[in-house]
This record gives sequence, C-alpha cells and structure tokens, in this order.
Amino acid sequence: MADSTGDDGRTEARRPSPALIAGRVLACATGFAVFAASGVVWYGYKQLTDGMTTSGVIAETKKDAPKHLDNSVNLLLIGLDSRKNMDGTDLPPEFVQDELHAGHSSDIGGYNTNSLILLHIPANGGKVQAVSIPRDDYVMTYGADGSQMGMAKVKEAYGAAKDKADAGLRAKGLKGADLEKAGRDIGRAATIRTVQKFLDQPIDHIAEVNLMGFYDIAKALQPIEVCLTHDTKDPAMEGQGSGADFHKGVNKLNASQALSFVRQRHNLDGPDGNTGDFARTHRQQAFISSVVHNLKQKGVIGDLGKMQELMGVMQKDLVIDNEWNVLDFAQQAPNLTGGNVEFNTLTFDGFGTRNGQDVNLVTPAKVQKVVKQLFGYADAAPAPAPADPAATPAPAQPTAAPTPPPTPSPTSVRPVTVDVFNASSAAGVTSAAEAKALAGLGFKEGHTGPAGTRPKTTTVVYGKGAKEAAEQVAARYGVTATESAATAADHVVVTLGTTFTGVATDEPTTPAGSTPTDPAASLPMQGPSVDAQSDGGIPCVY
Amino acid sequence: MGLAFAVAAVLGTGLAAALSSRNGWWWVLAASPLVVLGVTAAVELAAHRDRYQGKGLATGAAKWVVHGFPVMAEAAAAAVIVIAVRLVRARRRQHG
Repeated sequence: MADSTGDDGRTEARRPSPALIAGRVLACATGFAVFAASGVVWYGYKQLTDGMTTSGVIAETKKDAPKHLDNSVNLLLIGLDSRKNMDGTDLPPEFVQDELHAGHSSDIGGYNTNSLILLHIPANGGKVQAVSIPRDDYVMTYGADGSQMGMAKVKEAYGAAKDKADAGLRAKGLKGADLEKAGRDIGRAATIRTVQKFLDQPIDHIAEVNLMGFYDIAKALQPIEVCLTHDTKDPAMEGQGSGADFHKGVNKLNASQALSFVRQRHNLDGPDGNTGDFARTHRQQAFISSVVHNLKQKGVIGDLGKMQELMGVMQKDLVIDNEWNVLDFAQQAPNLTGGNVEFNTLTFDGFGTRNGQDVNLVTPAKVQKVVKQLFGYADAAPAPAPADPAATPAPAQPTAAPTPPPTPSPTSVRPVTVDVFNASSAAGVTSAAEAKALAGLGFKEGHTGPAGTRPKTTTVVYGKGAKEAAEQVAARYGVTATESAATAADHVVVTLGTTFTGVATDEPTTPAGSTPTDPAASLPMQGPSVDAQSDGGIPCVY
Repeated sequence: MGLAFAVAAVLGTGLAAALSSRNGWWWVLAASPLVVLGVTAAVELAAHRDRYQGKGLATGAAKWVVHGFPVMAEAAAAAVIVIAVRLVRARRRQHG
C-alpha cells in the first residue's frame, strides 16, 4: 500500500500522506457500508415479495375500468368462502369441521366471495374510506372478458365465471393446480369487473384470502383482541353456525375463534338494520381494524424482519395482484397502516326473491352516487351544473354558505400548476387561500393575485395537457373548464368570480362551530360505521 | 431514472476505473454506491418533494435503496472487471 504502481509497471516510491490514507479508509468504509446496507435491504425486500402468489388479471380489468378522477388507490379485499387449498384439493374434512367450524365438506361455500370490501386510499393522505358490499346484492354480473353473465348475487360472479370457463380450460389441456389457478384468475377478473361496474369505481389492486388463508394469518397473529357490545352465541351445525361464543367487551381470539367472529351471521339482531349478513360485515371491518392495531402494537408495521415473517405465512394462501409494489403501496397508504380508516356497509332498496333465492335489491345508480360522495368525489348525477355555486346572492346574511356540488379530490394525474386570481371581494376569499386549498388537493401552487378581469362567475381555463386536472378543478366550483391557447401547457388558471364566496366543503372555510366533516355522516349506510381508531383501535361492534 | 440511469452508472463507473490511476481505483469503487444512491435521492427529492414528508421519507429511502442496489452492484462489477483487465494487461507487459 505504501507504493503505487502505474499501468506501465513503474514503481512510484512515494509514501501516501496519513490524511490520504485516512481519507481512503473513510471513503471505503462509507462506500462499503452503503453498499452492504443496501444489499441487506434489497435482499429483505426480495425475500418479502418473491414468494407471494400473484394474479395477473388486474392489467386486463383496468383496461375498461371506470376512469380515475385522481391519484387515489382503490383496493378490493376479497374473502373467498372456499374450503379448498390453492391447488384445488380439498382441505381435510376434520380440519374444516373442527378448526374452521365450516361444516365437514369442502364443497360447502363453493367459490362465493362472501366478503367484498373496497378500500379507497385518497391521493393526498386523509382518512381511508372502506365500503363493504353485502354479498347478496343482486347485480349484473360480468365475466372475465367483460361480457354480461346475467343478474345474480354479487358473491356469485367469481364461482359462476370459474365454472363457465372450466370446460374451455380443460380443453386447453390444463389440469390439477394449473386448472385451479387459471379458473381462479377468471373468477377474480369476473369479481373485479362486476364490482367495478356496480360501484363505478376503478380497482387498482386486489388481495384475496380464503378460509384457510384467513386461519393461517390469524394463527400467525393470535391472540387478536376484538370488542363486542353484546354477549353472543352461534353453535356450529352442519356448516351453518360459526361456532361463535363470545362475551360483551374485549375478547382475545385464537385463529379458530377469529374465523367464527368474522363468519357469524346467526343470532345477530342489532339495531338499525345491523343484523345477520350486515352485522357480519361490521364484524369483518372491526376485525381488520383490530389486526392493524395488533400489527402496530407488535411493531410488525415498519419492521422488515417481522413483516417478512408474516409474509412467509401469507405467501401460502394470500393472493395479490402482480402490479402491487409493497414499497409504493406503503408510501401511498400511511393512513391505512396507521389505522386512519372508516368502514361502512352499503345499503340496499329492500329484500326480494329472485330465482328462488333471497336477495338484496339495489339500484346501482344510487349506490354509485353514495360511493362517490363517500370517496369525496362530485355528485355524478347529471343535473345541470349551476353557473356558480355561490351565485345566489348572500351578501351579509350569516346563514350557512351555499353548498356547491360535493368537492372531488382533484389531484391531477400529471403535475399541473394552478394559478388563482381573485375578482371576489367576499370576506375571507383570497387568491392565496384558494391556491393553498387547491395545493392541498394535490395541485402545484402557481401564481396568485387580483384578477385582471371581473367575471361574475368563476372561470377555469387550461392549457395543453391539463384538461383532466382542469375538469377536476372546475368541478370544485361547479363550472365547466375551457381550453385556451393563451394558457401555458400543464397550467390551469382559475379566476374567482365576483359572486364567489367560498367553497362550503373546504374545511378551512367552513364556518366555525359546524360539525367536523364526516363524508359518511349524511349518507345512507347499513348499520353504524366502524372507525378503526375508535375504542383505542379495537372498535366495539354488535 | 430506470434503465438509462443504470446504463449511465455502469458506463460512468467503468470509464472512471479505466481512466484513473491505481490510487484512483479506491475512490472509484468507494464512491460508486454513494453516487448512485445520492443521485437517486437527489432526483427523487427534486421531482417529488411532497411525497417525502415525514414517514414518507423513510419509505421513500427504502425504495431508493431497493431500486438502487442492483445499479450499485452492476456499477461496482463494471469497475472490478475494468480493474482486473488493467491488472492483467499490466502484468503481461511486465512479464512480456
């Protein structure tokens, strides 16, 4: 080390200075440490993700999915009521009976998606909204290719599509585990398409778990604390009862009891329609909340090693889509892992009988409107847009501000800059405050100041590439965006009209003393909502 | 970043190893991972500052490392290969 040799083999008899040696050592140590640490993290990540069972159907189902209005992420949780292994083989009957309390036959339950929960993760943080779709909602079901399969319960789309495709898959030479995998992918695609159409919401990711997977995950996490508002019992009898036997208050559940907790639907007669299947959806919601709480308590979230251990268990039975990047998702969903989630169950028009089966009758348009409002989007009703939400003169009256159409969460898909100019002289309205409000919704804050013109109604104009963002901005003010060659590309210019007095749905401009905003508070839902952060992270349910 | 960044990192590190003196090889090998990670972090922070607030920074840093490591490894491998070739050629000249 004392000598250095050039490429020509000449020896330079020059001793490096101590400072140089120290510098080399420090640089090498730092470089090596960064390299080694990066390698460890990379290896951990690969271990975490490589063994997951993934499904490639999401790319297809996204093609004709309803358009995203912003950068939010919708995740569909599918609970499959199948008593089979992933390769299609039957679970041991005694295990199904004694541990799963799900009858003694692997044929019970078929491939019904008895639990369907759509999680909406807003683009800019904020509360995650989750809706459970009652399994007996009678809807138009769609096949994996998007073709109509006919009216049926929403839970039946998976199994019906799988059955329908079975002969074709066999004809292609598929059998055994390959046949099962292909069939389930078709079932997943059908479920995604059916839910997308029913709710008019795009689905970005899926996570599917069956009874066995649920049991395994619960086993890895047990004991899991849940809370009930009443004592309850539901003896297991021939695949009908869940085996539930819980007391009022906090219960510590093992895996078998956890399954009973989320499957119980008999002897549940809560108030406000919170009965049977619907009460069960709240059990499932509370259970997810408790699991997240449990993971946080045990320090699993944020600990790659512990996460890896859990993933090892989940790799066997959990199916996620192949576009799901764990790190991207972790970045998108701090509120989800932080427990800032509110669950609701969709309501319905009434009970009915179709094809000899009891069903929930629903009007998709009504459901879609509720879901849009819950997710913070504008009312999709084709009502004529008012010229300006604040057009009604309300000079000095201390009445509540006029309510514009519900505000979307208008985060542009591309980074779009919004300039705001103010022609309004209403108290509290400034271009800077409005620009901040728009920035809070995900737009880049641009220029602000007084308007050069004095339009009566608010105007929204946009340059090239900013149409989508402009439409989102315009929806906020209940006006229509127009393109202008004078506006720079990727720019939207908002001119607040002289009649503009503020957007009622903005928290900062909400009059003092009003109730905190809860998008679900005024919406028709089945039973009470379940707030994951209530009761110390273990929400009490019926 | 992606493929273009990886190619540039590999070519840059290889070129640096080819042009530097023996003393410089230390610096090339040591600096390569730091430069890859530093450039990744700087570009991401400049492009998406809003994403990396609070907890987002920790998740983001994990992402940079996971995506950056293969590039670091490829760049380091390129430098090692170039250095090995130079050593072999130098030895041959000495003995030839």
